[in-house]
Amino acid sequence: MLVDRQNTSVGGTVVFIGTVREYDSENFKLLQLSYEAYETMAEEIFSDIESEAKQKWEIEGITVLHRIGTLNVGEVSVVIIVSSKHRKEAFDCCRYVIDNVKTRVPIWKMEITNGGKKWLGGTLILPTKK
Amino acid sequence: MVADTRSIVDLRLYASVKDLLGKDRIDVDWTDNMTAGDVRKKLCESFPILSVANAQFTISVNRRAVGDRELIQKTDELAILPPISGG
Repeated sequence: MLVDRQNTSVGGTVVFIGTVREYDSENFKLLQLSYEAYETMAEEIFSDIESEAKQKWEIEGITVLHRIGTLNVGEVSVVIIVSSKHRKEAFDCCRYVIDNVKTRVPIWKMEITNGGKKWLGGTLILPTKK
Repeated sequence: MVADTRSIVDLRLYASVKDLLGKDRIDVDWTDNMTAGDVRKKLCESFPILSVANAQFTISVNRRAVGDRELIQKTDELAILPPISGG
């Protein structure tokens, strides 16, 4: 899955894996995280981010996967795989994709701790140009 | 019989705003030249808890985040997006 062996142009593949941390932002022990998404919009924004990345760098392939629903500590929440001819492009592009996922894609997480449930404050999505 | 000429736009709610209002969709009366800012104002007037909770949100129209001056058509898909926290 990580490496497309049919694509012999690829010289490097970078993988980012986000996982659920044990302690929340206020150091409460986390029991679970629950993710919610505006799925149709999220898919469109993923697609926009991929197109932008492919214009910025010479990229052979990008895969973005984000889970929704309830996850336990240690579980994988997000995976980004970028392959390109050279490693620098792959690293730069992978960082660009995760940074933009965090600031533009309508996904929310609720922290579930012994102290209760709380939607995590985050980034307000900025208006986009037409 | 008089036809019902009232036009409604469907507003999707997510995460903290959905929990504050206790529902995932609400109807908003559509009017000519209505803007996203008008929707924001109507929402805050109808649900004072949003102001009490100091709820911040962006409005999206047809799955694109917009500013308050954006004109709304009655067929548009609207959503209220509280600050995001994916990843």
